Amino acid sequence: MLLPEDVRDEFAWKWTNKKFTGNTIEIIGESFLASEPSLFGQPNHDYIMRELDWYQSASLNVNDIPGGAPKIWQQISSESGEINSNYGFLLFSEENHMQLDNVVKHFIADQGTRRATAVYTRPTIHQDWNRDGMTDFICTNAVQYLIRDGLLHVVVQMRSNDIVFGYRNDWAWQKYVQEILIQDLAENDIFVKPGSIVWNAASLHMYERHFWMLENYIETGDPFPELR
Amino acid sequence: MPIIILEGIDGSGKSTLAQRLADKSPLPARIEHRGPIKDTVQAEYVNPLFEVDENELLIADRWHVGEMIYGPLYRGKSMVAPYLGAVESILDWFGAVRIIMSPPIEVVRERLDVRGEDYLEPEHVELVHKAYEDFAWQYNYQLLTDVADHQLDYILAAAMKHQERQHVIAGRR
Repeated sequence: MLLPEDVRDEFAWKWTNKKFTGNTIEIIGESFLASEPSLFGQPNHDYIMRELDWYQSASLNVNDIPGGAPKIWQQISSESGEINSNYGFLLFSEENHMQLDNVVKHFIADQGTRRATAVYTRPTIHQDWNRDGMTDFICTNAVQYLIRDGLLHVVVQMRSNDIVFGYRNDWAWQKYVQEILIQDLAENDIFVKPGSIVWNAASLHMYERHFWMLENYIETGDPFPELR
Repeated sequence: MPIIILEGIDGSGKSTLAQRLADKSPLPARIEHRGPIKDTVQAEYVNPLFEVDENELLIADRWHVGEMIYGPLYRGKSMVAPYLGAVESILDWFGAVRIIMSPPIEVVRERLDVRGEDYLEPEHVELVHKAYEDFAWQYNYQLLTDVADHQLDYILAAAMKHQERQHVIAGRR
């Protein structure tokens, strides 16, 4: 399986050899061991903690993000701040059919199950993504959990993933959920340790504004510069 | 900014080890302690990690794991539990060395008796002792019963590795 450094090298190769069109470098169907909290750029831990608080609140309004909504959320939300992609809402809420509870129930029934899947997206997303002027087509399709050899493995299936901001914030969320699930399982006498996080992105891409990170990576070997 | 996190039941020898590490550290060392949580998880356990000087060693004489274990016991729930993944991944990011001190339970009881410790109820000693050992197993913390003088160097060297990694990256320029 590919490692984060392999993914970085693939992007660097595409950049060096001009293997992209337009203003986006993209790899289709990228699958790798997500063993690092960032692929390019330093994680913004302050924002990550605030976003986790907002996800926990399950609010579908970006104006509820503690400390204010970043530009990207403002751009994709409706005029009143509504969005679809509060991952806490998608995972914990009754309205989205208690996805995490379903995962726990599958494990209680059978620890070797392959059914422990939290479904994030939904059939009506084709209508929901642009209602009231928003442009929010949920980026995570589903996350599957597997217990093998006492480890809780996570397989994240992404529809679309920005390699800089998207990956690092979504990784923090998946790590967070892995820990919550471990605690929920322990309450049900299933004791496991954190296993691998495997990342599978239908489209893993880097936008032009971040191409300088590739140049920097090729020149210095440092994938984690501070954002300019 | 090397970081060493020391956790363990009261009377396990964390403070003594923290001081021994500080005395032997090649970098100026700052020992910080966290008791029952008073502010947010971010303010108590995350932000201070970003305030450590580049050439300073932070030794945490109890950090977030204490709240994981004592919180449910004495305050009904752990404030850290929902954020454990985030805190642990940030410690990963910094390459923090994580140790749980766990001498035999009889030793802990003796020390608590001598101290006249009244925070930890005697009937909870066994439960807390086991909870720390379980945590170490689950989250791959080093579980140590005692630390000999020569082992201090290993712990400090492991903590300095993160800084070396930063230097290697810089050296590629």
